[in-house]
Amino acid sequence: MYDLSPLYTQSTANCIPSASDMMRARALLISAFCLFVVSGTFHHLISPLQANVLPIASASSIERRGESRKFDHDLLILHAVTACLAWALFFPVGSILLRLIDSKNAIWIHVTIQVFATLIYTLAVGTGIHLAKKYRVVSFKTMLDFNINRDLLLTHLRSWMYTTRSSVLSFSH
Amino acid sequence: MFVQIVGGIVHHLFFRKYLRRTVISYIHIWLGRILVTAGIINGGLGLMMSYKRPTVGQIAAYSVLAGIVWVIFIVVGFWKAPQKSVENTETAKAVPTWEREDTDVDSPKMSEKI
Repeated sequence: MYDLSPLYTQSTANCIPSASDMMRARALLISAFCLFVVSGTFHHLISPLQANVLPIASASSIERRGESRKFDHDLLILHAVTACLAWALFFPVGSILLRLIDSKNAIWIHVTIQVFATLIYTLAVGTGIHLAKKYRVVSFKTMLDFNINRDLLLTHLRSWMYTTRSSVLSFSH
Repeated sequence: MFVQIVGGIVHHLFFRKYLRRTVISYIHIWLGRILVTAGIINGGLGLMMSYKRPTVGQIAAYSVLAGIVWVIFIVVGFWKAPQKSVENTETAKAVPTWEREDTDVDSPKMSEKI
């Protein structure tokens, strides 16, 4: 018969992670999974369903609140227009011109347009952060669309733990 | 975006030094393409999640204009011959027009001009 002794004399001790490594990895995985599940369990506390559309930071009087709301509507329009102009016009046009202009100074035109676009997008980011702090306008339906994938993942994990085989849900995830 | 700013400057310095594209250049180019695409999609998402529903005309206007700009951006980016290297004089396309009169490529003045 074949001599199989070389297979058993080779030491595989260095190839296998030690028991403490496995313990550490398992602890990391379990804590990450617990955080994931807990964040889903207490999701109703931070759900936009409870958060109404009223401003969180209220002004001292109703008139001032109305003025602030009107001003914030203008800020919203500013946010939309500047961000759309930056990403749908200035950033692409700056790159297109770099290829179309056959000149030594093409790079400086590129730099100027991209810096201008960066500036107006910074404006959009600032107004966006301000509005997102003050109002919660993301609807529950929108959040549900993003949460469907998490629910699919949890269902897949639950069925996978018992069967250790991917199901239709896994592929839909 | 800040990676793009730093990457563009580093690309330019490296291009002046080595007279050809480096890894930084390709990171700058491809990150730019990804960022523009993501930014255009982000604009559509913002329109979708706006608390005052936009009209069909507004959505169509944004989609058509952004789509046209994106298609031109991608087509020009891939179709137009880019300036890959200054050393390569065999193919005239690779050399920009303001350098085509020069025949002596290996002259040390080359790096001063760019």
